Amino acid sequence: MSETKTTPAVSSAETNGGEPRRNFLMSLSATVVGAAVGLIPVFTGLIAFLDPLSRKRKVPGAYAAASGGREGFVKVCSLEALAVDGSPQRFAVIDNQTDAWNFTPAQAVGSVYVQRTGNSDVRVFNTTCPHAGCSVAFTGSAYHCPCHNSAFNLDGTKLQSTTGRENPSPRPLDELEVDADKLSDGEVWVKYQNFYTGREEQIPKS
Amino acid sequence: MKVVIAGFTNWLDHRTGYRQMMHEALYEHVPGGSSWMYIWGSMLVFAFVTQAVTGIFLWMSYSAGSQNAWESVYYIQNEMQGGWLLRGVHHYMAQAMVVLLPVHLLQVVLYRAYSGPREMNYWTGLVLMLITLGLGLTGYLLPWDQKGYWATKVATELMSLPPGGAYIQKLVVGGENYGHFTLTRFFAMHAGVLPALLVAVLGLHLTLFRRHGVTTLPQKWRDDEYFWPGQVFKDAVGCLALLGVVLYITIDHHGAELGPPAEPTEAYGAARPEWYYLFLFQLLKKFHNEFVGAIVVPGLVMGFLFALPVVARIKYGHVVNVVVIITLIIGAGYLTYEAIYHDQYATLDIEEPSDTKARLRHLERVNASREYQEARHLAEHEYERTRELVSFYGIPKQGAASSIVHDDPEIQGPRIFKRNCASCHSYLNEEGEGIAGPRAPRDDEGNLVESPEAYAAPNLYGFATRQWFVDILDPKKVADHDMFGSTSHAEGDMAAFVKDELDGLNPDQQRKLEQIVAALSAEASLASQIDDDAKALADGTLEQGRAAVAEAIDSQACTDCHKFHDEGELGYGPDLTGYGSYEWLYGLIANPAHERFYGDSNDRMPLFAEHPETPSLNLLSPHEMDMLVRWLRGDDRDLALAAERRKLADAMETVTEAQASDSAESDESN
Repeated sequence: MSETKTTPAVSSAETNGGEPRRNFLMSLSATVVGAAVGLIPVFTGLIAFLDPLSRKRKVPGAYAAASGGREGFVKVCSLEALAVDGSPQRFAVIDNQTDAWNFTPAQAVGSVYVQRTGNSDVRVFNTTCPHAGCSVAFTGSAYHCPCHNSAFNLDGTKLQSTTGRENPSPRPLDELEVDADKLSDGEVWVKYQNFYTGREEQIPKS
Repeated sequence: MKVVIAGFTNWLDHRTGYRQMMHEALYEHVPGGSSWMYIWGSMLVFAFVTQAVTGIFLWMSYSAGSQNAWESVYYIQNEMQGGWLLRGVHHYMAQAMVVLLPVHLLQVVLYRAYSGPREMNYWTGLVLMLITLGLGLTGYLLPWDQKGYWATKVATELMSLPPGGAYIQKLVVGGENYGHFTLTRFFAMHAGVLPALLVAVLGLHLTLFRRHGVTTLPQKWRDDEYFWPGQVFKDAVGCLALLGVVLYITIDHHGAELGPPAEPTEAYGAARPEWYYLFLFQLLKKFHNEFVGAIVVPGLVMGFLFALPVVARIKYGHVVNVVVIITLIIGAGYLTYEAIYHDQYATLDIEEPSDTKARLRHLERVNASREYQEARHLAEHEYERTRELVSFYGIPKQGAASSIVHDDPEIQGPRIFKRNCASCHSYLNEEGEGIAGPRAPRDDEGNLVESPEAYAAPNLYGFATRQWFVDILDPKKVADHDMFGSTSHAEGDMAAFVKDELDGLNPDQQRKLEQIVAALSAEASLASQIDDDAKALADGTLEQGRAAVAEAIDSQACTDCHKFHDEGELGYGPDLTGYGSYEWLYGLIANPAHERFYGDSNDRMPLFAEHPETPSLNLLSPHEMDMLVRWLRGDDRDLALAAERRKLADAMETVTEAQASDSAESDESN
């Protein structure tokens, strides 16, 4: 195409005269096409990168059979295993674990504190501190978080410190739903959930 | 607003001098104007940038390690949204780079852009080519599938050939055997060392290019131009076309191929390097000495390429260079073609030559090609099956190869069969697909032997199904190659019985035969015939058939030679009780010469598990026996059904045990 050109492109570019329209169109096309070829590979990668946002939990066919409990509930312990005096006990939550490409049935996926609150009634807390996600421990008379001095009463409410230091937790310990039917059969089945930390309201991660 | 922008750009320029930089970058002088011939270098840079971008995104999902590499790539390929597209673009863009490299090289040589003062520029280009090839080699291993594993293994084995190579090999592999360290090292090379080197050398290459400017053939009739915008536009269009082709191929193939997970104990008969390395693969085959074929000759060629600028100083040197480069490209192309041609040979329906020497070579090629094709089909089948396994079981943490794949009869069965049974038996479906048995014997001149001695054994596809019984009881088929045809039983009593007594049956006899077939086949309780068996039980066919087994159709009954439940005796023909059941088939393969099976008239079948008490002495381990039997019976073809049947069997066993212990207790109390 340059064979028929009469004005040298060099001088036109230098003086900004000659064929400004042609030069402008060429510049525009070069920019558009260049941007397109540069961005397409990035988009290709971004689609895959954003995969976790839309990922749904899938259970392989062999493990799809019902666990014997209500949807989303896992067995934590038997009622009999709990101390009659109502002191909390820590139990591992055993459930199917999906870790990207790996699927492992019956893995410890978290832990809970279970305490008897009556002859056949229990209270279950997620052990994750609602402040910043460390794991709380029951020591003596209350739940203490080892990270930032959060502390909770036996019923999960925030413990007001006597030393005057403020309790940083935005909300009480996260109580988990217990299956009442199973409980009357003497088994503690819990809807195990984790919640976003650092907020006053309880929002489940799902 | 305008003032603000101007203020900011002035501020920025004052601190960075970016305007000057941009100006230098864009207003490069292009003598003779922009040209489509100059786009190759830019396209290669673009391809590399694409590889860097897609590579980093792949990196975010990839895990190097022998229990995670294949699994993570599988996940990218089959589970992640757009994962196949990302992996496909990375895979095919790599191939595009290897195609563009010789084009760029050819352009440089034709335009004489390699000789003084541009030698350094040319040499850095050659180094870039080597780095790119290294990226291809290291990347091929990372998915840790059968083809990548075995192809790369060949490459690293060859590393030990030069003096001191054993140490190099050990360092590259990270030990004596392939494993975690091989992957971590290859990955570090692929994603770290080589790209960093490439960026550094590319920087040098481009700086030198800018220093000396674009070279052109004398084109005085054309005006000069600046790099921007004319050449940038042409480059961008070239890149767009390249990306278009890569995207098209990716979508057309639904991404890059992934094979079954690597297994160090399972040789892969179709191990080939990536296609752009096939010319080296083929070159190696041409030399009897690997050292010469893999190292000396490629080394000499590379040496010559590096020497081009020196040669150019000699009179007619440039012409020699052009001729050599073109010859090398054509030669590499031809070798690539030849490698593909040899692999495809058996599928090309080439007529058998009449000349003895040509025929022998032809047969050799057909055999090699068939082996390759079979291995490829098997690998495809294995990969598809692995997908079923993954969706049913998920991938356990010890990795797919050593868990779900290792314990799957549909994958292990054919492998064990190929190694131990296929020297006599075939396993071919109605379409003739599957595992071929032994080839018909030929003499020294490659001619088929007329009426050869017994050399094969029945086709075991669909063993113990109704169709299988229909065929063996068919006078026209009983002595076919697929049945007793190539065994000593072709002349045996069973074949004689079928030919004499089951020919020209009247409708009554025919119905009786069908009932017998249903009853005998039901003994196997095959997963594929659950419904048929249930129906036959319900409508009384089974009962009638079982009775008919002991009745003569013409003059003889099955039970005259075979045992069937309470009728007949062992010692003449194989026991028909539980014929084809797991336990029966296991027993037959373990010891076909047992009186329950073929006894003294066992043709040539080895005793695969003769010593049940000491499995270490047996030809096949208990696991191999289990896999083989379950595969032949098709027990696990439908995974959900198999799981259900296993659960049922376990429950039955528990009940039986409970009953047994109950009766034992009551015995005691008595």
